[in-house]
Amino acid sequence: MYYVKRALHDKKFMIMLCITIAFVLLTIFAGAIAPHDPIAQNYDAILQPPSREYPFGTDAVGRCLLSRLLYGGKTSLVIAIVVTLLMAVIGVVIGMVSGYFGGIVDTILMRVTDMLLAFPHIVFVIAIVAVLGTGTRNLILAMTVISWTMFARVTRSLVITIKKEDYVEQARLSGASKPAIMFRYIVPNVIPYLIVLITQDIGSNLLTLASLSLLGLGSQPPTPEWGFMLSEGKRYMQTAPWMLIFPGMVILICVIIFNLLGDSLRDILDPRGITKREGTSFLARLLSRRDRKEKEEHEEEMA
Amino acid sequence: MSLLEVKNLTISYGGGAPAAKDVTFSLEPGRILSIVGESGSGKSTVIRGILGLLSGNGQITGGEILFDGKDLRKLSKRQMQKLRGEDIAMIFQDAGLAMDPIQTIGRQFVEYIQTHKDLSNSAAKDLAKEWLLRMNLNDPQRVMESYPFELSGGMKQRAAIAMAMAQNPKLLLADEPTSALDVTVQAQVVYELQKLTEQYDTAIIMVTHNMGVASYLSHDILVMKTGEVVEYGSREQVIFQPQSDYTKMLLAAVPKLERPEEELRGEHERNEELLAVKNVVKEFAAHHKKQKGVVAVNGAEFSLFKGECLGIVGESGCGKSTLARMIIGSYPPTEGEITLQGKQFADMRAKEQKNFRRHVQMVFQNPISSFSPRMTIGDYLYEPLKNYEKMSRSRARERIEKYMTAVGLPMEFLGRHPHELSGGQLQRVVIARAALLEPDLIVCDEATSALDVSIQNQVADMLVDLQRQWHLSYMFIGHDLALVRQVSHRIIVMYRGEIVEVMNSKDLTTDAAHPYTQVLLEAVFDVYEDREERRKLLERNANDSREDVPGCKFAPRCRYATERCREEDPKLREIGEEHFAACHRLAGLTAAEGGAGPETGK
Repeated sequence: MYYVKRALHDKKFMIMLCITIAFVLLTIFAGAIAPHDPIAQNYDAILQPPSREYPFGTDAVGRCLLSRLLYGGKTSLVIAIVVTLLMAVIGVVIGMVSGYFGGIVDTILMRVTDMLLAFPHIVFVIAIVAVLGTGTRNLILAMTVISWTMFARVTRSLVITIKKEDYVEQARLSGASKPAIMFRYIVPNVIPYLIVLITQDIGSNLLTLASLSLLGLGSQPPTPEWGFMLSEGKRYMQTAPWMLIFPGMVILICVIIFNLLGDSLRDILDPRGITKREGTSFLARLLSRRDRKEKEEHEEEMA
Repeated sequence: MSLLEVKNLTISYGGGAPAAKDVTFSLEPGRILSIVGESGSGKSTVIRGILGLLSGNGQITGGEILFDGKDLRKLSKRQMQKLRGEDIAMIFQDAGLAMDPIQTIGRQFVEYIQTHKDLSNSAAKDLAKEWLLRMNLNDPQRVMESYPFELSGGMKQRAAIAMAMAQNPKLLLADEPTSALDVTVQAQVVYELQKLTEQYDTAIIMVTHNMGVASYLSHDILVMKTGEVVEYGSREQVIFQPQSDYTKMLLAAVPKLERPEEELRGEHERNEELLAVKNVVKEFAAHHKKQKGVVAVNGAEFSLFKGECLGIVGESGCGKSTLARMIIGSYPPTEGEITLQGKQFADMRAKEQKNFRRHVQMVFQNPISSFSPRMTIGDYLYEPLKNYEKMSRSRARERIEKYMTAVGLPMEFLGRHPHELSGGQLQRVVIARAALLEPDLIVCDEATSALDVSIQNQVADMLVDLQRQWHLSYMFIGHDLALVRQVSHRIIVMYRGEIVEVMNSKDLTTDAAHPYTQVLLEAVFDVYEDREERRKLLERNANDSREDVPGCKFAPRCRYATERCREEDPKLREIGEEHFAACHRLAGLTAAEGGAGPETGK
């Protein structure tokens, strides 16, 4: 309850949350909002600049870019978010176990992690998709299997540090069981550090997805997908820049919003404000400075 | 004209209320000014302001700083940079943190010299060595080749002072230069600082919370409280005729070794043995095959009786914390046994071990790190009751209220988070939780060291009160003899892993026999003591050798050491009534004089 209250009072967080929800709603109700069928080709309107009919313009086969972006959100966002959540959960659990229990468990888990880290990610994903075949589910599987490693590593080192804190020792003295120590003392103190990392990964997953689509391993044309639209647009950069600009903008906005959302979420989860200084993204800093300035100006006015 | 004149200096952080307000003082060459006050009084802010080293959003909002007639606030960045280090140098509380951990002392020193002076490498090295020697570091070549982690805290602090002094600055700013050090080392650093002013006419501004040190060292004292100057005057005025209540309070709060008889803890009736430590050894294995393992505790043997408070003193690294951790069952001893009410932790099954834990509680040094930042005080206090007694929240509340009242805190605190409380309040909560389960033994590991002096006293008094009320047993570990004496019935003195003396605390000042205990006693600065006497003591105890000898570990530092001491390790033996010491000399004396008390420190 305490954190919900804090969240409700955090203006920055609420704004970011609203935008995120808006994005999600737009993709869910794409069918109702989109002006055109996203795969219907119209050869009378090839490579048209934005107009009233086609607000974001059309592509090389005359499909409405706006509609494609709206529909594409479903594939892109769903895959990116699901993959990120899956790998965060797997990575955090493995990192926790590894860091908390140590010894042989730690050695085995960390060597597996090292093995996976030794492969270039994209090559590994390509290999898996090539074996399993394309499709949303296989794509999610392939990306998750390879990318939890970083979370495991980071979580493990955080857990090892926190494990040595006096308050963990205190908890042990007051009779807390091992799972209790793990979930009530260590996890809540690890999560705020990880949240930024996790939200940033949504962005990078969007981009991975884009490169996979380009290789023909992601979603198959004509299914709309942001990353694929972006790479298609590259070919027409000079003649039809809108094909590049709009998908690019959408991806950019998404990445930024998830970053900022993570930033403010972390601040909310950290009542003491110790994690705030380190690792805050440039944008968040810029924003908070603006906040402060406005506040100061406001105070001056009041005076 | 004065060397430094500060007029109406006002500093604030981020446009908020000033952290230092209207601070005015002046300083002549060769004189020492102490700025004293408790944490949050703005004392560090003032000296950082002088150097232009305010952190983050700190800003000087008013006043003048005249150094040698120049207004420091009007100097350009480059001029300030030249001034820093050359004319004004600074030393910090923890020299270890102020040094680069991956460079040798020598490299850092040479680089520091060369940024200010146009000297060749070898000339700079010679200068560095010269200063290290002057700071009583007898093997400058070895110090120069060492990395910071290889030196002890005292050596690092002395190396830092040497670095600061190598430019012959006119003014040295010292921010709590002795607070992180052991009492014996503190005494040595104080002595070095004093000699500096005499030999080189350096003026020193020292920030400290130790009134004893301030009283000994300074010519003038400035007392600060929440950013404001409460009192400013010569040392004699401030110490002997304090005007403000705050200064009086600070002076009264200084832990005193000498106390009236009725304030001392008498002997405790020793009926029921609660804790027995028998020949306990703890060795930490080395990380590399080439290194030797570290023996943290070597052959400790003592017992603690029900309702007793046992004090353990010794400098850092003497094994007192390791002992505490073994007693609470954090790790097993390498050899020997620790039994609580006849049961050994190591023999117990997991379930029993869990039950054992409820009978031994611990209070840690740093109250802030004892709390998970994400839990409320209420959750923290409820935890043990939930786990051990399976109490519901509403029933637990009653019990919690009783203990919160006992430690003098309101129940409103239950809903707060740790960062909303002060260090002293937090430590009270920790103590309340330790007592909550009515344990057999509470181990306090430096429980008051991280607190302000006035709070220290309150917490210590509270511990004594609680003990009388509930017949608790404590093991009170500390490095401050005066404070340990205030709380404990008996005192154990440890040196480098070994128990060197055990005695009743009421006899501490009169009967302390082991040379190390005497050194410890002599290292406590008293506010009103005679400065000439103190000076003699400092000179006498300047030796800080940690050389390894097969015999008594203290022998290299001991002023009575003989050939035998260096070769044969003395055993702990009875030298008086309920008084044990490990020293050949004392054993010899008692044998010769038929058990009469040996020569004492006073």
